[in-house]
Amino acid sequence: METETSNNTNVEDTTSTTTTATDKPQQQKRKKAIKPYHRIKAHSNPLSDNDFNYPVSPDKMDWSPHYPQFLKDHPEKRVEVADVGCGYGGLTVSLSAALPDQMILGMEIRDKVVQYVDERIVKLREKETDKYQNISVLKTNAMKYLPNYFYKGQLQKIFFLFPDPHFKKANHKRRIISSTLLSEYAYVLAPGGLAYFISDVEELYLWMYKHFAAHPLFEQIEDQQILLSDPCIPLIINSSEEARKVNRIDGKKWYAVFRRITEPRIINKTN
Amino acid sequence: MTTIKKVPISNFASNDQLGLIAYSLNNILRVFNTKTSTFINIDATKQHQEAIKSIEFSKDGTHLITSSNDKTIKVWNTTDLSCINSIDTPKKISSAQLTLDNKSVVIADKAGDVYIYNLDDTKEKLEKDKKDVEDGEEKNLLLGHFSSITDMIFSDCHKYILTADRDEKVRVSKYPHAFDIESFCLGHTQFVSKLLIKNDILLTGSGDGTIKVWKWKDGQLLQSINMFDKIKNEAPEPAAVLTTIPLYISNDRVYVYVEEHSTLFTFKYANNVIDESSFSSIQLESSPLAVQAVDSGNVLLVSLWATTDTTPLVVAIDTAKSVVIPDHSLAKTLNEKTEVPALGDKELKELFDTTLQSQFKKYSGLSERKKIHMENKNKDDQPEAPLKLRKMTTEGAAEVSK
Repeated sequence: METETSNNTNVEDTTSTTTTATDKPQQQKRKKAIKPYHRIKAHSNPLSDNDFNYPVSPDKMDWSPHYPQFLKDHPEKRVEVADVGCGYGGLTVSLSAALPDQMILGMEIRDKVVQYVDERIVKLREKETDKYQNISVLKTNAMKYLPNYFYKGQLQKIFFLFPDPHFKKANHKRRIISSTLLSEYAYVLAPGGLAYFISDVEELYLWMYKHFAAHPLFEQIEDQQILLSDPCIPLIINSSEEARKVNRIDGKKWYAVFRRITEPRIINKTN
Repeated sequence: MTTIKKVPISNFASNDQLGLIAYSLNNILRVFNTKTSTFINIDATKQHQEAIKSIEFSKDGTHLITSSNDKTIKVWNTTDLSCINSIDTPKKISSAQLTLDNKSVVIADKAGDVYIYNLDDTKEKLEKDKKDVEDGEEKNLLLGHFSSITDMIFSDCHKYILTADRDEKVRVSKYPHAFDIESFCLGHTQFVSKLLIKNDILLTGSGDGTIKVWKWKDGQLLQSINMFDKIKNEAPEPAAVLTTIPLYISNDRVYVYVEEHSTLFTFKYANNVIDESSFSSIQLESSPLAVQAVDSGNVLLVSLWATTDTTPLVVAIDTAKSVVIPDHSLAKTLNEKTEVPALGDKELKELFDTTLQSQFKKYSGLSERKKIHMENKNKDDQPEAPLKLRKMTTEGAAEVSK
């Protein structure tokens, strides 16, 4: 991983780019700290058979309950941005303003977290009816069911923010990035579409980087000009709850962006 | 059907040009030469240790490949049935296929991964590769599902590889560039049991009781045939989960088997369309297990589960008339000449439980449990109180600990 220092920005500034309206109601609830409300497992085993409701195929997916107003105004639109493992929805919410013309979907595997984000979006929409119409969340296992929701080449952007590191070697198969899963992400991404990933765990970052770099259908974006002008970059660094947690303890973050290409790159596998 | 009386033929393969019929009884591979009407001798020490799961001739007929529950793949030379290569795999095998040049073998396993091994490599290199896989290295990894793979086949042109999984999906990947997914065939609502390909058309069976016809390259569903309707006359109250298995497709006919039914179902098939009204069933003595077309597709050999002592191992079916041919010479010879390994009741039960078809029970059992779980959950969720959540912050944690 010789590129580690040259290509990747080490982010240390802690200025939060998002002052979300949601902080306030949370502040009120904070008085009543009831344990069960907090007790949400940080980890989930994506291999176990959970009870998911998912469409048989993208044709069968009804998006109108997710984006009632937006789809009324733009019936031709499809979801183009996926936040895989959206957690408490920090990125999903802030992307709403950054990408106002695109439909954004947060995907999360933990039941209660999904309910939280769902409520959060409902409240945001109540507060400002003209905003936050282009975001939604659903409970799913993105490692299994992405092709059930999205057509080939439907997505323009896909985000993997601070995924579960699954440190144990036996659990590496559960990591959200692997060479076999990358093929599925390449399938749902449009040619030229972008995949963003960030982590505060160096080992995991290197793992993700290694797999992206070894996949023939992804190419790293190294041009700093492109990265600096991309409005999503500051958001992936600072907007999510996980990112702010890292900021509080002054932790380091590593990120990279890869582009989906059509002609496979030739990769010399060193045996 | 819960017991069997003798070891059945669990797999068939044939090559008309060479006049060879290969089949397996439990762990024993037998090859019969129809031209000389003799069995070819196979070194008993080279046979598999456990039940054979698949037998297949290479496209050019020079090789035979077998996979087994003992986690090995064996490649045989068809001229003298010598074992050219034996490869141990780290995981249980779902399917094994030779590549077009017979130089590599592609193995799909129950963990959901597909590996490719070069047969020219020395035993040491293969061993090392295998060990690397166990250590998490991925250089032989071709593709992977996040679910158990149930079946894998190459397209006729060998430019695509199709894999089916327990999560209802069929994936079409390019070959050898399997990282490039061409399409998904999505439509089944239960695990996919078997893939059967003929040019542009794919036939799939599933635990959802349907047979589906696909234009696999676009992932386009052309036709779905509900076998629940077809078996109504036989079993007025069919099981909740019905596993369908497409067995054979000829130029004008499709043969389908519904698990645990002692009937073979057949439809007329033309211009990529199955004619549902042409449905007919062939009553057999017991449930069929494996089929193989011989005699240029005019005859279909069907192996049966032996539920009584007198059940024949094989019956022959006239594919044009869709009737059983009594006293078909080849079927007769196989029935008379095949040495059936003697097994005790316990072993027979075990064999029955581990044979391919019964494996599906596990999957359907799982989905059944899933369904029950969902129903219970929905019941519990009815009076759902609005959930108030807030994220666990470091301040929050401190607060709680106070």
